Amino acid sequence: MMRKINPTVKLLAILAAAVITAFGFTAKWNLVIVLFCLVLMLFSKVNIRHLLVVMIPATLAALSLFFAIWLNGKGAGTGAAYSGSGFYAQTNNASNLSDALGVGLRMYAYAFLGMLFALTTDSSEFIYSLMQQLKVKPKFAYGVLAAFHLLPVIRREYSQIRLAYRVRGYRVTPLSLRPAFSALVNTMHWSESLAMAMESKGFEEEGERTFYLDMKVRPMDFVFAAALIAIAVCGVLRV
Amino acid sequence: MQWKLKDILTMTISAAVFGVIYLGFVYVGGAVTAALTPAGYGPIGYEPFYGVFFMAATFVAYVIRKPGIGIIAELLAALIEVLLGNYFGPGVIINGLLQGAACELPFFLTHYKKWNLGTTVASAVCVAVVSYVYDFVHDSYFLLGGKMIALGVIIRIISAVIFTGIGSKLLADALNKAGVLKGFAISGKSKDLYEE
Repeated sequence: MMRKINPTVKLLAILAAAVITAFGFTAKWNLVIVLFCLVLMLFSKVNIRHLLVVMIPATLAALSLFFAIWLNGKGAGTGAAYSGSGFYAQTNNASNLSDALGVGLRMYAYAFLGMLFALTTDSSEFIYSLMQQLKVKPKFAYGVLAAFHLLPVIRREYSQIRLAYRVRGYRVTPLSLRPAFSALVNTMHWSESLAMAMESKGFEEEGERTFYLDMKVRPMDFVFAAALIAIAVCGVLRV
Repeated sequence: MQWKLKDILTMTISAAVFGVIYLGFVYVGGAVTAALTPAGYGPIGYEPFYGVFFMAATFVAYVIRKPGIGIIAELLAALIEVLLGNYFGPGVIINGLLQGAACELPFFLTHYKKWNLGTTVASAVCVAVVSYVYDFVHDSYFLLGGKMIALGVIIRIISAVIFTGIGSKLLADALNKAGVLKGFAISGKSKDLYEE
């Protein structure tokens, strides 16, 4: 379902929602955003394991903000000074709790918005859409695509170099800088070879291009964008 | 000074590598945050690592030395982070754009002519302050209380000076010494970069 939405429209709508959400933090509407994204992701058959991998640290971050604001925030200080003195301290703490809940849930809303894009978008389609809808220059777009597709190769290179160091009797820990530096040296070499390879294959920096993937903007894309932005605006207006 | 395909590929690949490193440190920061949470100090859990998050912009700008390339590098690193699954969500992309611009400001003010420890450290301090002001508004840090804010700003500036100001310069100089940055302005030998 979400996989068919145009990637550029999807990104802009999600970005707009994230920016708008920053202006207000009612717990209720942040929850609506979380549920909206969750339902769309479940309908798009995303990998549940990927979802959980992101959810666990997001939960910790949301909890930490919640507790820090609830316990240490502006209100709590005055509350402690008037400890046990009835109405003033209590209302102060109450507003602290709802602030904390709102900010904590907003953290969650951000995480879900990010996942809605990351887990339902194909990297090639995204790049083609950037070139066709946003008129990004092909030399940038293909540069980004090349870098993205080079990442697994860099990771493999890094683990091989670590192994090579261990064979030679160096102690290698996850924080060892030497193998990381060697991997970077090779990576910088590749970027030069890659540029040469692209040019020798006839890649022109300024030439007109045709695309084998034709990315279109459909009415459904606007329905999604309007719905998401409407929810974010409702949150700010505290409807 | 137009960007060539080689500049762009070096920039995007550096951005991708830094994007992965950023995501790793997001998880490290998350773990520290979780450890500090019971004491109520959770929100400063990320501050010691903030300098790492600015490295792409200063590194790429320092290597290629063309206007705007650091901004785009930081933006792309943020984008790749989001695509790989950063739980701070799409707002990170805006962070990236702002941080890239803040990193480049000292280079812009010196007309892209001064490239030494002074400008890279200035770049680090500039981005630390600008990014804190942004978080202050965007993430409602004003709710945290004065002690936490003061602690956060100080730790973030120190971290930025160590990782961004000194770290990315040392890294670029070491790569240059290894001979893999020939043809970029940092090697000082390529006249063609200035002709365009």
